Amino acid sequence: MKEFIAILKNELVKTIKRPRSFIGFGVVAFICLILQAAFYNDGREILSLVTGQLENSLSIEGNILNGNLVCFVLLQTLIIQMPLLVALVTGDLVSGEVANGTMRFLLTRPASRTKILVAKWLAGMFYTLLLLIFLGVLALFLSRALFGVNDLIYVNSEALTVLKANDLNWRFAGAFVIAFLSLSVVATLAHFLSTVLDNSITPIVSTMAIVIIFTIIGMFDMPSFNVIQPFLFTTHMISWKDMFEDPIPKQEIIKSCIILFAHIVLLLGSAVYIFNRKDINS
Amino acid sequence: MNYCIFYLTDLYVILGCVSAFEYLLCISKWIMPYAIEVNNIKKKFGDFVAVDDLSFNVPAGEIFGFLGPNGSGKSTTLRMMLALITPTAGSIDFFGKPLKKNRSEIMGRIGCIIEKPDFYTYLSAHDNLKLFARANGMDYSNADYKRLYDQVGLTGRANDKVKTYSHGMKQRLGLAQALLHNPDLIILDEPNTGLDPKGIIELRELLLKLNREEGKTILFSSHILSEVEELCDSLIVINNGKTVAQGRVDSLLSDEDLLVDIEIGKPEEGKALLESSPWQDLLREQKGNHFRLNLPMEEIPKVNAFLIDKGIDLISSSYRKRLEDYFLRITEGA
Repeated sequence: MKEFIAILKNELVKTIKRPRSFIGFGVVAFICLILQAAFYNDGREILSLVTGQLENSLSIEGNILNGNLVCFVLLQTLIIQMPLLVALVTGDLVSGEVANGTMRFLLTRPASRTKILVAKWLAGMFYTLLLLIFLGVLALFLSRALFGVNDLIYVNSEALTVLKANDLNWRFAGAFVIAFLSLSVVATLAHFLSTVLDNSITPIVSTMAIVIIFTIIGMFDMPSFNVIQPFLFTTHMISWKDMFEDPIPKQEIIKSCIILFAHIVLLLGSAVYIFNRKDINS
Repeated sequence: MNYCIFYLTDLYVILGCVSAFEYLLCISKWIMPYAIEVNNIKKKFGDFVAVDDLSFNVPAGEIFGFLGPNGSGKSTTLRMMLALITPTAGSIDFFGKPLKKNRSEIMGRIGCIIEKPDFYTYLSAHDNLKLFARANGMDYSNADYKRLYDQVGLTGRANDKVKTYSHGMKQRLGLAQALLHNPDLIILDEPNTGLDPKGIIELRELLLKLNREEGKTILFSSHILSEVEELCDSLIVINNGKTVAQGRVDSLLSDEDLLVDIEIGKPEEGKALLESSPWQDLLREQKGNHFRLNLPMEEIPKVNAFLIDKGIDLISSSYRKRLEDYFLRITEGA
């Protein structure tokens, strides 16, 4: 255990000190701040256009453009970009070291390959969590500080949903947990491809290609696609939105979490199996 | 107990249970334990056989040379020895224990540089070594690091990022990480590549010190054959994945004549003299005033004195290192 903790500490140090790791934080900060600035300047005008259409059927009082709504919009926007930011770091964890030659030095230490690979995966998870916490702080807390706290009113595909302000904190927390699980699948997929492939860029590109292909398959309501859609992780990556339904579809969320978790176990197990048999030739 | 083993082995030989070779092998292991035993290893990449039935032993406490031309299977063998790639067949033992079952323990006793020294370039040399020390379960103090930097010549540069290092500096850092955990066995693949002459001398002195004073076993691979000849007790030469020569350096080279290059002032006169001298059959080549002879070491001063006595101006006289000739002959002939 002591040996594993030492290896994990090494992986965390490397992940934190790599210049590439900061790209994700930079992108998240940039998008959050630029959207918050846009909402601050033009948000009320745009919202009045939307609410103006509803004025004949219902009366809306209070501050609709509040921190909760801005956070909700930011999450919808950034969850699409986050897989790329996560893959940028986790897709390079193994293949990057193989390509750079540092893997030779790493594997000639007493720690087993399984420990090294799992430590790398955990470092990837840690990075994903850190990125998501950073997003949470900027999207939720900064938005609330700038725009205030009020009820969340949004229109989904079926109806206008109103969620009380005091009913939102746990929903955001739950949404972040599900988003973390979703991004963990992407991170684990990138980590798996990084184990299989030997160059630094291909696992990152391949991860994004898989996410895009699966998302496209998930978009079309066709019988042949409908068969596989429930098993694609991309179908369940948007389950975080279910936390803002009223009532919350608990069964659906649990099912999605199980499928996402199964993906993680399968991908990590395969990565360990392959890595233990891999020849390091570079 | 050891006497008992001896007695039983004698008895088995008498009874014809083991061959004399096996008996000798048993005795030699008992007297001189091996740090490395490579037994009939083979590595295939698809249809290509990179290493073919290779066997050799490295006695504990020796400096062992591991030689071969480019593409001979040298790096593949070293990678198999360090569990970076899996042999298709055969086994490798370190300190009497199979690598396959004792990888973790064995790796804790080995320090190595394989191919080029690669590090995390965005970190300083000190931070890189801290990572490796932690991976080896070492708790190094600043004084320990300082001693290590002094030993490998990195003092004053340890806090610089590795991306600012020259290849020679990276080699020094590579050596530092290999020595970091005070290993019993040091495997060095081309450790003097990129080092300046001072660095090569320092490395040689350091390796000799580690071997002679601390009893460390060193497996040393290099294309600088004069260094191998100077450092190694025994060596193996491989080519096309197979053993070409193996043995003690002295015994491998003892029968070899040197290639001696002589430059003289009066070439025609000198040629006539040499052709009528006792060394007439050993004259190999003449280009202008340059002559090349195959001579034993002790004959070189005699030839020089002979020419001077006969009034020939001797401009220069030099010989090529014996291992170079030996290496070229056996690898080109293979």
